[in-house]
Amino acid sequence: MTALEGTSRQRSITYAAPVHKVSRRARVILAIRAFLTVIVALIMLIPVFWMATTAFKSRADAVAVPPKVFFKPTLEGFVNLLAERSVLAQARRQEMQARRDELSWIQRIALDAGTEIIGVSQYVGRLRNSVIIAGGSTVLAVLLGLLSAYAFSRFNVPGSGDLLFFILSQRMLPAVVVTIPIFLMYRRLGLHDTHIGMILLYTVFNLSLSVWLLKGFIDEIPRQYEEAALVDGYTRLQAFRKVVLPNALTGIAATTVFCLIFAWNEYAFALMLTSDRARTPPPSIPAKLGRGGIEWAAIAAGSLGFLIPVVIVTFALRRYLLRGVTFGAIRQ
Amino acid sequence: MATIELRQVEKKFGDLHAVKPMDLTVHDGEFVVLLGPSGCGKTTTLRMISGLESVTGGQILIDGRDVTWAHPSERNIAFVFQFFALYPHMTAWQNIAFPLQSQGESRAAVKQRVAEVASLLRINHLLHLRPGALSGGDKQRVALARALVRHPAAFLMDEPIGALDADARETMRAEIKRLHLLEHATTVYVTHDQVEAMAMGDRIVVMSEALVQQIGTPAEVYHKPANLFVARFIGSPGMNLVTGHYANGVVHLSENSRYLLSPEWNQALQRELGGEGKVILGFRSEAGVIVEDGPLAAEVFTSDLHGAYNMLNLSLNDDLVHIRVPRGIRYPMGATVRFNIDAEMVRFFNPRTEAAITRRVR
Repeated sequence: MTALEGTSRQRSITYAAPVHKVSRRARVILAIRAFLTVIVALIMLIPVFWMATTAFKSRADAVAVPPKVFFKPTLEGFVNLLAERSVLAQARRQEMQARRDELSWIQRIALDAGTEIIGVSQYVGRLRNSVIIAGGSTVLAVLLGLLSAYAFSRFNVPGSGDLLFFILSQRMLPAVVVTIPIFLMYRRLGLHDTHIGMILLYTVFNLSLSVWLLKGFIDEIPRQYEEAALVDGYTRLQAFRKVVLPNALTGIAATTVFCLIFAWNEYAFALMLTSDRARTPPPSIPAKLGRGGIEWAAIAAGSLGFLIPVVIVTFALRRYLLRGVTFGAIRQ
Repeated sequence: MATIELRQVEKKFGDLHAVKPMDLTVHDGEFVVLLGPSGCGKTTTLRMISGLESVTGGQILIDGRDVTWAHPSERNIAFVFQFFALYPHMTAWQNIAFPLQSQGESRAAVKQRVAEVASLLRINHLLHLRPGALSGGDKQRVALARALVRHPAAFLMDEPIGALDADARETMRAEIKRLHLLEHATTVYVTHDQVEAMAMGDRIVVMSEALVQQIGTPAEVYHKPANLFVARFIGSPGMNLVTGHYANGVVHLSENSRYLLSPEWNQALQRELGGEGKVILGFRSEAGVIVEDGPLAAEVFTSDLHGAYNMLNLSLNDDLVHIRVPRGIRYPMGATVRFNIDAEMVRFFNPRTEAAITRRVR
């Protein structure tokens, strides 16, 4: 009885004032959890760390055994990645060396590796392709997915169960199985190696994900919100825009990130259905493996550069991704 | 304000009736309560009036205008939801201003009108808060303000205080009634709580199993229930109902309980049952009077103190009968009590049709 009273008194104190003292037991548990989290995070981050450091290593450091943790960072990898170079003959090299001061810092890095920059590499164009294709297909998939998820959630769509399953089934076959028929169709339709072709393809694949994800989020928003807006004098579309959309932001953000990551990282379709104009980095980074020895630094730099845009988008949307936790005003 | 008229309005889901064809006229400034157990079709009726649910038959008129197929936004009505349905991404102020903005009101007019309504409901200090930060009662005040702000033709309320805790419920009940009187607002109010219905309604529409059972003032549905369902549903406890046998101007309830009918009732029962037959006698708990030589006898089952009075629960003919008695008097369990029924408050029902038997031919 006294023990019970004790705890209840303690509780009333914690309600009244902000918590300053956490019990020792809770602190120890918290510390252990933090420690384990850090360990797991470290294990997961090692490949990324390795890639990031390799990107800044010189050719010799990149292949050193045992691997160097401390090294002199260089932008050689990035220069190799972004610039088209040619190997300098001995005489030309000495001539360049002589007027080193006139050269830009980029050219100097190339010169140190015994090469000369003769243009921008294909990688820049590939990255641009990725931005266009992944961006376009993500916007389309989320937009179309939102409208169809709303319809499935709110209206009595005949055969909605079968339709939803059909939409989901679009993602069931692995890419390798469907690439050949799609390849043949795309060649006939003139969609092979085009941006629009890749955007359409990724949109179809992502729609299944976005419809299902967004339907879940929209189902969570009580119908009464729209109904209130309807009697308050708004049309269905206005109610959707002013009431449903702001409350679905969390879901839209999550769906956007998922769709973007898929379209951004996609490898098999990109390998088979693009050759040059619409080729994206995933199939072209490994192509670096073959040319004149393995340029690990350039590959790592390419992967790192490829990673950054997705990280930026996820980071920009994190506010909405976390918002779901604190929003909590929906009562049903 | 406006009148609302339902003509043979019905709602079917497949072959199932959610609301069987019903007629109802809500007069200008009237407060009508739709009352019934859950699933009886009262909310569906309200939603059909609002246009959120389409009708499958009949006509709905607001101020004489046929709005049966009009979009909810074209009906100039306001709806108050059970769970408030405040837009969670907007502040209280924005919530209240939202209906005005749909009409393209000027910014100054919106500001002024929101301020007016906010002071009427005494929520000025809450206007900057989001719904998540408000208490249940305050949420409903904001929801009411949102309904009031536009001066709609009618208010439709779907159990607006059902989601509040007991304390807030009492307060909000009074506030809604006061608003209704101040604004002279035509209101249709849905509830399953008969106490609330009695306290608030000018008229009550009792519904059960998709069908209107009775439409009447609170006094009418309480004292003159149209059938057994209304008799049981209205009042706390419901009407006492005892099955007996009618013959020769007397209703036999048990061996030593014989209720002698007045000539008027005798005539009515004669007409309804033809000579003799089973009949259900009904009376409210306050209509029973304990008297030593009363015509009815029953055994004391239990007795509960209700503060202002005692409720005597008597066992009569396998039925439990409740009679209100003064506080001081105590009755031991198992004792036999004789009582009479206030002649003005006795009612009879036909057990076959379940309908009330009326004294005079209309």
